[in-house]
Amino acid sequence: MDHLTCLLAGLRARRSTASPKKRGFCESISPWIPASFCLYGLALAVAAGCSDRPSADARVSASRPESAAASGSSPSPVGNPESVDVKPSAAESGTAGTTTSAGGQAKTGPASDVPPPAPAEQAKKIRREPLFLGWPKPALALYITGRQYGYIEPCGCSGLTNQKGGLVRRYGCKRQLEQQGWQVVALDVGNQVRRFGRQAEIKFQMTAEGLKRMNYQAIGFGPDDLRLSAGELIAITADEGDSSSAFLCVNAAIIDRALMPRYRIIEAGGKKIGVTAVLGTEELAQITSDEIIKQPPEEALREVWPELEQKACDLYVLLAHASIEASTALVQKFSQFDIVVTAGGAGEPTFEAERIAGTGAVMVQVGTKGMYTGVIGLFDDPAQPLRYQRVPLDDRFPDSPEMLQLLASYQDQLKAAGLEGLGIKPIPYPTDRKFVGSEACLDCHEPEYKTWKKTTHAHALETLIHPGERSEVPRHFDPECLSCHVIGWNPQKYFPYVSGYLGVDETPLMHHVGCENCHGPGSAHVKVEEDGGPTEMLNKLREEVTLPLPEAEKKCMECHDLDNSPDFHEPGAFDRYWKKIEH
Amino acid sequence: MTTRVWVLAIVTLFVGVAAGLASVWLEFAGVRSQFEPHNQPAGAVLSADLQRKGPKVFVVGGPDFGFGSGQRNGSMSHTFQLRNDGDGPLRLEKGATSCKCALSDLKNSELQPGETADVRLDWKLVTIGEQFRQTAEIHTNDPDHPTVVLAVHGTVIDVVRLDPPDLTLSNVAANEGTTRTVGAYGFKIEDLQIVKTEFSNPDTAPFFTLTWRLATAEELQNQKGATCGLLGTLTVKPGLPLGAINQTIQLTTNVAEADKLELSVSGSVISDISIVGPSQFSEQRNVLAFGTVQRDRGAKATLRILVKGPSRADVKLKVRKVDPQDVLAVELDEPHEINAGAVYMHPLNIAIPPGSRLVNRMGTEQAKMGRIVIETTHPDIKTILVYVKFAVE
Repeated sequence: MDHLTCLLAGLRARRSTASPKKRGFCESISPWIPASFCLYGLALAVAAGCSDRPSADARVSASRPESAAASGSSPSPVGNPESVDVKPSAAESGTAGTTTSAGGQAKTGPASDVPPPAPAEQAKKIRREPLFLGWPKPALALYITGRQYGYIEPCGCSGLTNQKGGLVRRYGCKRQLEQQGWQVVALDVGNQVRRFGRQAEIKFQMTAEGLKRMNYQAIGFGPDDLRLSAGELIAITADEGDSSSAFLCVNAAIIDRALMPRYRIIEAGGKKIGVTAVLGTEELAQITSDEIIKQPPEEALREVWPELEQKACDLYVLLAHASIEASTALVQKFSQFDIVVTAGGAGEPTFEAERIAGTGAVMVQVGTKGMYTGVIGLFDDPAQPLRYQRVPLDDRFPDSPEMLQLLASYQDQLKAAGLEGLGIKPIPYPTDRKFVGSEACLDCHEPEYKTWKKTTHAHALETLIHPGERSEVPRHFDPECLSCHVIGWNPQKYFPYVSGYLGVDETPLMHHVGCENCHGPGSAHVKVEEDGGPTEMLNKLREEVTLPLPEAEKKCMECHDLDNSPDFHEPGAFDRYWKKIEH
Repeated sequence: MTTRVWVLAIVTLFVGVAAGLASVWLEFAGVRSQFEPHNQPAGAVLSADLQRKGPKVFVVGGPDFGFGSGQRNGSMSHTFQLRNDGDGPLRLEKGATSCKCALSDLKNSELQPGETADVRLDWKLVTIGEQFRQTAEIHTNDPDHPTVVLAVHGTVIDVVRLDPPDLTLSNVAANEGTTRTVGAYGFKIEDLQIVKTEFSNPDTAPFFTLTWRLATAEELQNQKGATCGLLGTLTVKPGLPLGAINQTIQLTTNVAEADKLELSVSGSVISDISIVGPSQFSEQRNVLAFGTVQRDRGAKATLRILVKGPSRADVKLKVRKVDPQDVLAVELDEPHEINAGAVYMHPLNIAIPPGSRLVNRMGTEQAKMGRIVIETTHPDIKTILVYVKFAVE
């Protein structure tokens, strides 16, 4: 009951029982003061009691029951650690929608024929680990990432609730920390991309822009970054005039040593931090470009250390793009470093920071595919000057509209470049056969065709043009997405075969995941069935396009790989999935 | 009267707060506290407080399982056993897993003191590289270990593997060609042979040759666990067309249980002479866009002319013409060798000095822009044109 209602209730009660004889004001209202006052007070009291409810934003929380380590200070959990239901996708706010490609008009048939995009999985409660328990507000928080490997969005498309990572959430998480008043310094150990070619260059450029907007202060390189063309790397990473780039490396430079800072001094939260980035020996060996100037890691660190030492920093951080063993060895030789961020390790980063034997340093891992960030809190507490929290970038974090806009811009660049601009040319299929499209199968395989038509395979391209989630960013110009949503592409190498899909308008028969995605190009088979031929050839070509069920699972996994379809890899999954398309 | 009002107010306050608290408790009684201890080592370590009553979770054998090594893309599983070492009921709940793991359902989600529950973790050995580590969480009502993290880790091996699995030929000079080495290694087999080589792109196949020799014992030692191996030399002949290289080489081996090996070759072929510069420079159009320049401030940039190819050491550059000559100050510095002469870099400094006259060369067509003509002694490329898009105001 709100306050106004209480007052009105009191007033109405008074009005209805008021004597027509006029009385003094105080005399009139005095009998009702206790009642209205009580009602008003009751409402306030109930409101006070209800204020103990945890808020949906979980910005401020109650203190931890036992908090000896926290010294009674309040933790600052981030995101909503509660169990969350799968939410239906909704268009996000922000200006991302304004950059949606105008080419998003599908010509795949009337809208009424197209089923809605595959709905999110049935709501399931996923319990998330709470974060930053017992943490007082740090003097400074280092926000550590790396090894994105090109996964600017969570890997695959099996539902954002099931997946972690992406620049959109990375910024959402960082902003939440900053909104709680934390001083956050973001550092990245490198390897933004994994592939080579024009698309990788555009992705690297887009990532660099995203890191700049997130105000990253120091970014190292990985060996895959340094495979890109020197011209692109220089344009994106070199210092220019008054603006200094956040990229740095102590033992590798592109073309000219003068263009690559070897370290950076960062002042934040009352602290002075010296940061340098190094590539390990094995990683250097992977770089074969003539335009990259390389130096052994120890030699380079030995050269730069006197300069760093002169800066008299409070803390020294080493971004080591090296294995765990190599990173450990480097810090044991250069024990002046307090924190080493390693690109070593497999899969997930460890829960805790690791003390390096023989040194005072701690080592943290970044994991792979940008699924996690690590937050190192620095405190003015001699008993516990440093704390570490591994943060999975899951759906508890809001999408950043700014990063969504960047994603849309990336897709626009891919569209503007086109396949040819991306250096993608169709190559002949290994057997030299050509693709004909699923409609060609209808004549002889009508029941199978009709079964296929009702499956999500038959609308796969539509899910790129109108994605079910983050729907303001269409992806039908992205070869990395197209390769598993159209006919006639190599699913793992992201290029088309001759006669395969080239565009919505250019190849209208090659839309969606059709018969030939599994059964292979059907040109020869169709021709001999239509024109006739020797029985032996007829049978041979029929056998060529037959896919026995025992072999089908392997074929399915060319697209339903762990990145894109983790549920497909659970025990018994193939049988469940087969039932949906059985023919 | 006044006393009565105050008494009534206090009672109201008390009743109101109690009602509010009660409503909150009723709504959230089923929700576990968010603020349980976290990030503590769990599992094999017994609860620190031995005197504490209640449930205590224990992972028999420890929460971290090393599986040694396993075949890539294969499936593995391990059963962990959880035990209640406390004196109160221990409740268990499945938590999150990393994406390559599946956690079996808990048949027994409440353990009485002394009881055990088995939890099976299934995983697929898919990873970048050779090291594998994945985790799964079990949430408990043990206040000392509210989250038990079960982890599996080990090394992923292949029966046969290429190292590296792909080759990048960054900026190969069209007239020069290049070579790269690649290894093919066998694990747990004694003999490895390449019996067939196929090129995915027949147009450029003639420019590639791949030859093999047996790996020496020392070379094998560099590949941990390899029992046999071959060292391959990929030679790329000069003459590939300018632009992207996209070739996949499929190798069939004599190992029946191994799939075909695929060696991806990507990269780009460029002219012997190319120019790189800051973000204002368009490599595709050779245009340096200063934009609008304040007369009293001027502007400057350095482009780097890279010379590759067989004649790189002998190529000389000279600025032959600058337009507008009275506004653009252009200077070629002495060349530097990069990587022991693999590339020669000639810095080209371009400046609009402060105090320059007003001029507008902001046209969209190159003909309307400023222009720098550089002469070269390269046998095929005699002239380089650099356009400068700017206006002084």
